[in-house]
Formats: sequence, C-alpha cells, structure tokens
Amino acid sequence: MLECDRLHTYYGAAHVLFAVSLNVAPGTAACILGRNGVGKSTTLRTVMGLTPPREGSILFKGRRIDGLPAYKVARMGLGYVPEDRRVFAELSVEDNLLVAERQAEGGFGWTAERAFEVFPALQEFRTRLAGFLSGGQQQMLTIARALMGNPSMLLLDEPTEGLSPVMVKTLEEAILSLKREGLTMLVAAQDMHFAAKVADHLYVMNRGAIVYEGQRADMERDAAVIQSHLVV
Amino acid sequence: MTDVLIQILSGVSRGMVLFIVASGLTLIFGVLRVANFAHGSFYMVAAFVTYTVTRMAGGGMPGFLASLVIAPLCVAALGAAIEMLLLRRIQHRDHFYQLILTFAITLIVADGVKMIWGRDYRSVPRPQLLEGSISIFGSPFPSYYVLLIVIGLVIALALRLMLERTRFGKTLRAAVADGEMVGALGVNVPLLYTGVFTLGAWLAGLGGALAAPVGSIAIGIDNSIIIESFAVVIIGGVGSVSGALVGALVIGVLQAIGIMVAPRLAIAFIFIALCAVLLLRPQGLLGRRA
Repeated sequence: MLECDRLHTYYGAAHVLFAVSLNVAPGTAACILGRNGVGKSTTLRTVMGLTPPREGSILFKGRRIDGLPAYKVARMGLGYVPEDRRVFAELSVEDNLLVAERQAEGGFGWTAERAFEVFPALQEFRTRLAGFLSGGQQQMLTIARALMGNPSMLLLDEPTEGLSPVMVKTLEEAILSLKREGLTMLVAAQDMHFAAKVADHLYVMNRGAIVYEGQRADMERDAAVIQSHLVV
Repeated sequence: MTDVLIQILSGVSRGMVLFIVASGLTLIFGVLRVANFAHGSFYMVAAFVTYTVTRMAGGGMPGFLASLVIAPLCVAALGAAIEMLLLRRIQHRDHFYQLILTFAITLIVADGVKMIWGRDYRSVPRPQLLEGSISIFGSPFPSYYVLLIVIGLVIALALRLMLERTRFGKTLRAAVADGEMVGALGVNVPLLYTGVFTLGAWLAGLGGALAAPVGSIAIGIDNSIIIESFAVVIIGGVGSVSGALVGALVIGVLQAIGIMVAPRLAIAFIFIALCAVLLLRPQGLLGRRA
C-alpha cells in the first residue's frame, strides 16, 4: 500500500530524515516507535506531502505521491491524524467532520453517523464547539475527521499521547476496530505496549533514521534492543 | 444633542463602507496570511469604474445599480487574476515577498488609473431617488447614508450566514484557524485561496462603488482606505468578520466625533484607538489568541 524509499527530509538547512525506508502492506498496521524528536512526525508529514522529501520516493497504491500537495495525497485515500490534535476549535464537532467529508478513491463509505458509532462520545457532543472538548474527545474527533475523507490508509501521529489510561484504552480499541475493518495504518508512538497491541510490523527510529525493523512476533525477543533505542 | 446623533449616524454610514472593504481584507489576511496592500487599489479601481459606468449610463438609478454590479465584478476578476498569476507563485516564500508584490501592484494600478482616468478629481452623482434626506428628530440626514447603513448590515448578515451555514464558509473558518490541516483533509487549498481572494476583492470593489457618490474620486483614495482598513483588521482581529464590523464602526464613529471636537486631530483618533487595542488586547477585540 505504502512504500517509502530512502527519504531525506530537511527543515530549511536542517537535515532531519536520513534514508528512511518503510513499507506498509494493505490491511496491516505498522508502528514507528521512537523518543520525542527522532523524526516520527516528520516521517508522517513527509508521506502526507506537508514536508516534502528532498530525496527519495514515496509510492501509495503503486503511484508516486512525493511532490504532490497534501490535498491531492488526501484525495488519493490517505487520512492524516496529526499530533497535538489540531481540531478546528471554533467549529462544532459536526462541522469539523463536514469540512473533512469527501469521497476518496477506494474508501470505506464513511459518514458522520458511522464515525459516531466508532466514537459514541462524539455523538453526544455533536453540536459542541471542538475547542470545548476534553483532550481525549478531541483525539477521537481528529480520527473521526480523518475517516470522513474515506481513506484507505490512516497516518496516526501519537494518538494516545498525553491521555488518561482509560482514554488510552478506549482509543486503542477504536484503532483496533478500524484495523479489523480493513484500514491500513502507519502509527507513530513512544510506547512499546501500545505498539505491541496494534502493530503487525515495527520500525524504531533514532536521530532521523530507522534503526530497527521487525515483526510483531520478534518484539519480545528483541525487546532489549528496542528499549535501548527508546531510553534517553 | 441631535447634532451629535446625526454625526454618529454619519460615522456609522462611513463605518459601513469601511466594514465592507475591511471584511474582504480580514478574510484574505486570515486565510492566505497575506497583508494585501493592493486591497486599496481594488477599492480605487471600483470607484473609477463606477464613475465611467454612471457617465455612460447617465446619472439615474439604472446607472447607479449597473455600477454596483459591474464595478465589484471587474475588481473581483482583477483579484482572481492577481491571485492565480502572481500570488500563487510565491505563496511558499517568506511573507515579505508577498508584501513587496502587493505593494508593487498598488504602484502599477495607481499608474494605470492615472493613464486611463487622469489625475483630475471626479465625482459620481447620486441617483435622484437617493439625493434628498430624511428627517431624524427634525434634523436632516442624507438618504444615501441610510442606504449605506442598510447595505452594510445586509452584507454583514450575508457574510455571517455564509460563514456559519455554508460548507465554503465553514471550510474558510477552518482555514483561518489551521490552513495546513485543511489541506491535509483534502480541501483544494489553491482553489480556496483563489475563492477567498476573489471574494475579498469583490467586497473591496463593492465598498469602492458605494463610496463613489459620497466623496470625490481621485488618485490617493487607495492609500487612505488601506490605512483605515488595516486599522480595522487589527482592532477587530485578523480573520474575524464580526471584528471587522465592530472595528469599522469604532473607527467611523470616532472619526465623525473627532471631526466635531477637534477637526485637525480627527485622524489621530484612529491611531489612538489602534494603539489602545494593541496594548490591551493585541489579538484584536474579537480575534483569537495565536
């Protein structure tokens, strides 16, 4: 579904991604683990077309998407859930979804009603301004909002960061249920337990490069190696 | 006492024209993050087009109505062309490139206007129906000013409905808050930018057409309106149409009162208001904190 080949990304003169290659097969979830500031968000932004790579190529559904503006990437079926939530605070929950409502190629027929089935808490607050939601509800809204574009694949940037344990569990379950529906995912996370629950395939990043790659089954065996990259 | 009321009302009518122009500026500023100096040029071009249209169609109501349709449309087309052919090419550069570009446009348009319409002062007659005045507590108040207030309110209401009820308006508000995120959700951002810029130019054009029969039309009205419009945007808050309404009314009324109290200092009142807002509420009266 997604094939990134030796991506190099810069912020101005600063070189932040070094030859990042990763693959996500259709219907699977891949997880990028790493500490803060190692390039996870930049990797997702690069794939989405928000911070285009200076070198390397990105194939999505077999087509080159590097160099395309983000809106075209989104319309091809890539949904983006940014870090720090970024809901439209002055729009209601419903309007946040409306702005994002769009038919993408090969999507799963999402509507606001179906999004509310995944996140019942949002239905209750559908007319409330997004800025007045709790952090966890805002996180649900960003996922629901991305679904409204009918993506075939989701990019999720630290979807459980800074949330209460109860909320983390709710979101994990929602993410797993979306995966069961056939949605492909690339998730950035800091927490190995979260990755163990969601990911079929695991990448670990450090200092802008992929330093470990493995299957879920390898995680236990390689736990020490993975941990060594995650400690500060 | 009625004098003051009449003066306030005429300030309100002046404020309404200012609101129409500044609402376009604030939308462009909010969505495209461009401080569009050329906004004053749009206003001026519309005023001159109004002059030409009313000359050709005669000074009556048909000419007036035709100019209200034609002048804003001409300017909207000019705005769309500027956005697509010029601004879009440098949208990823630093902001000062856009400042320089829109400033260059003001110079080019000013010279163009000079070449087409000359340096003379022009005036546009008010249609006969709107030439008289109505009586407010026994004092006369120009009918045309009443029309300005009514149209200003209609535009304010229409913009509000557009922003609150339509998908375009909601997308626009989302883009004011977070343009990058809107793009990542699949919104055709270049098209949205062109749409907003064109709408903004249309509003500047409507303001210019409405103001034409009030004062005289000449080179230089672009500068005076752009300064006041920026003041309105800063007082009201960038990207906020309601803020622009409040800001424009504050400036219109302050100026009208200022002229009564201290005619030579009238312009200073605007800047005193501006400084007060910047000191006490830098994000603008109805603006959001960044």
